[in-house]
Amino acid sequence: MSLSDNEVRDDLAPALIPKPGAPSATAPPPGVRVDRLIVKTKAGFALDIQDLALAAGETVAIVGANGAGKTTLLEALLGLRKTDVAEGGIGEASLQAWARSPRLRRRMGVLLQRTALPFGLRVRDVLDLHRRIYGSQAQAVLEALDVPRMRNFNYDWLSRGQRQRVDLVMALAHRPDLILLDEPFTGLDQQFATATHHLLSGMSSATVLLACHSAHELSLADRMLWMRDGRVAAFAPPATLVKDMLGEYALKVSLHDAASAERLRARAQGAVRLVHAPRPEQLHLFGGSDLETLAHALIGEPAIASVEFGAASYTDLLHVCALGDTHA
Amino acid sequence: MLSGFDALIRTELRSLMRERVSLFWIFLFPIVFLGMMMIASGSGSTLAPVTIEVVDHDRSDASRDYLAAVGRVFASGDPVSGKLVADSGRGPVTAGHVRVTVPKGFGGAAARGAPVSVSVEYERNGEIGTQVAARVFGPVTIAYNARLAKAAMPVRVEISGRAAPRLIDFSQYLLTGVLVVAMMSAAISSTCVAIATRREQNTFKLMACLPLGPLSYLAALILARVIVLFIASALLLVFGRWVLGIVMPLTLTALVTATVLTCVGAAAMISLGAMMASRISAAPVAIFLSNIVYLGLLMLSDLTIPLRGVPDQIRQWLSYLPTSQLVAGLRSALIQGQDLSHQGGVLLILSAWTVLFLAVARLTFRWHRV
Repeated sequence: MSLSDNEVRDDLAPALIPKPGAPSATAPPPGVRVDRLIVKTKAGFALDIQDLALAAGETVAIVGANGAGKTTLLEALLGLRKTDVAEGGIGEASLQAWARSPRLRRRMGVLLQRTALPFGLRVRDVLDLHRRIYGSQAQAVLEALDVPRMRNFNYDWLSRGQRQRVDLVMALAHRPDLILLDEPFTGLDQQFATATHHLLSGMSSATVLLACHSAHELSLADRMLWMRDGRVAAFAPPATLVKDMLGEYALKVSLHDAASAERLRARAQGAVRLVHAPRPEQLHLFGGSDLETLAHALIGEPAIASVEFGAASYTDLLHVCALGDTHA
Repeated sequence: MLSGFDALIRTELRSLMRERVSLFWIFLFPIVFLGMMMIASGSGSTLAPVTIEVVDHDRSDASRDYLAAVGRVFASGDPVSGKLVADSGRGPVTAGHVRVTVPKGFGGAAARGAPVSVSVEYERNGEIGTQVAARVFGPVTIAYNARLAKAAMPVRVEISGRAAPRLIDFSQYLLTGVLVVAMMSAAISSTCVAIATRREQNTFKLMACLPLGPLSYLAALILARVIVLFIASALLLVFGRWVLGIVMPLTLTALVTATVLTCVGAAAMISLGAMMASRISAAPVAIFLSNIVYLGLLMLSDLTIPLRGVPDQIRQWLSYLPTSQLVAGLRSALIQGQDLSHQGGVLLILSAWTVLFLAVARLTFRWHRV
């Protein structure tokens, strides 16, 4: 089965309009408000979030290096981590109430990393469990992720991508209005990443918080939450952050040796807003229109192996945020 | 808000039914073990019948009278049954047999009131049954002498075999013991390993995000094992009773009493399993600990290995183990037909264990690894 983007969109449009009586139709999506959230661990790592607010119906992507606290933030919000301070609320209820109340959890859709259902189930058993627990299951979500075809497969033997699709059904098929996802596109091929993208962008009545590691995921977000060492480093629309942190243009230069790279770095000072060196003989320079002049000047210079010039992208933003190298 | 709880139980049952190792220990091992032990012990009764070689050199009325008294004791089967066979007395006594020789002049001496002796031979290091049979001759002969002498006995020994608790023979002992062994696999080992595995694989985290929550899921995990425990017990009882032909009066009262005992016993054992798993988040550690506890209880709870060599004081303590209590209750219910009114002590001790295990589990339990 192959789905083009348009087919997916057409299939899903009716399914994503909440039906009367569906959970999301009875209440508006909840906003999320974190006044103070602190998690300390033995390793000394602490999550320390203050005054963070997600508007109702907003989609927020959490971005950051490994260990920056993306998963810890999601799990702390869900009450799965021991928190030292947890003040705030989701919708009308406190964070603690969401962790306790079955009625509230019914409105929630969650996808976590490295979780497993009991051993020995088939995909149809998993679907059956979901349907019975929530009392509703949107066939359109199943079909968008092509899960019905795997009904008789053993859940334990699924490939990573197949399993991710079943887990996404568990998180989304009951049309939750609060969605928390930890790297939802992990393992998905292009076809299903696109399908998932359409699914999530179609759930406009839900508040979505997702830990994110790809530009595809980031493009869903109204705002991006950049986390560094357990703290919020920036919180703004991704396009704004690209412009503020990187500028309009990206110039990616490969040089023949590290010494030339150092000389170029010195020469570019003043023309760039931010420099990132993925390798000693490589430079990614970000900035405004001055970069264009520099790009032209570099072409043909003997120390240069290749030059790539273009608009600064979400991928560039993710690289920079994930690596934490922000020194201009 | 418990819609879907049945789906959780079904999920756990499906998962359990596909765990071959658990199925082996809960269903197959007890049946095979019971069958092997029955073959090894040869027959249902505790001691095999002993052949008594009778060498009667006297051939008088008195000697026939004496041997008839001996025959009556062995025919009663208490303490051991035996078959009397006439023998020439030439050659050594056959291994496993007991030989009694009545000398010439037995009748005459008896008539005169003069002392005379019969001799009893057997293999000193032979089977227990043979040794017991040989020792039977002492009291039988004393009783015979007393009757002969028409003595007014200064001391009368009244042995009144208590009627109520029926004697438990080895096959019944074994079947009830193996019942508890199967229950241990389902309730202690399977619960402990399942909880540790679910924690290791973050299944509790996943369940904590579903409407039913982790506590409902834990309840479903436990209930699924209780269901399997009852199915395994029923199958084992049917196998022992109708395939191996072990005598077991399965009256309605006996079955109701056994069911109540099993429920209370299962609660104690499951609480033990949950307590053991309260901090473990690696399946191999849980399997190791379960095996240690399983082996310990298997050997110390008087399940399939009689604790004859253990000093009384220690045996007394061991009898308070939950599995010892459960098996004692089941034996009195299923074999001796005692109803619930006799099980107060057992139910009380099992409940006390449950409370203790649950209290410790409550204090130490962690849902998640972090």
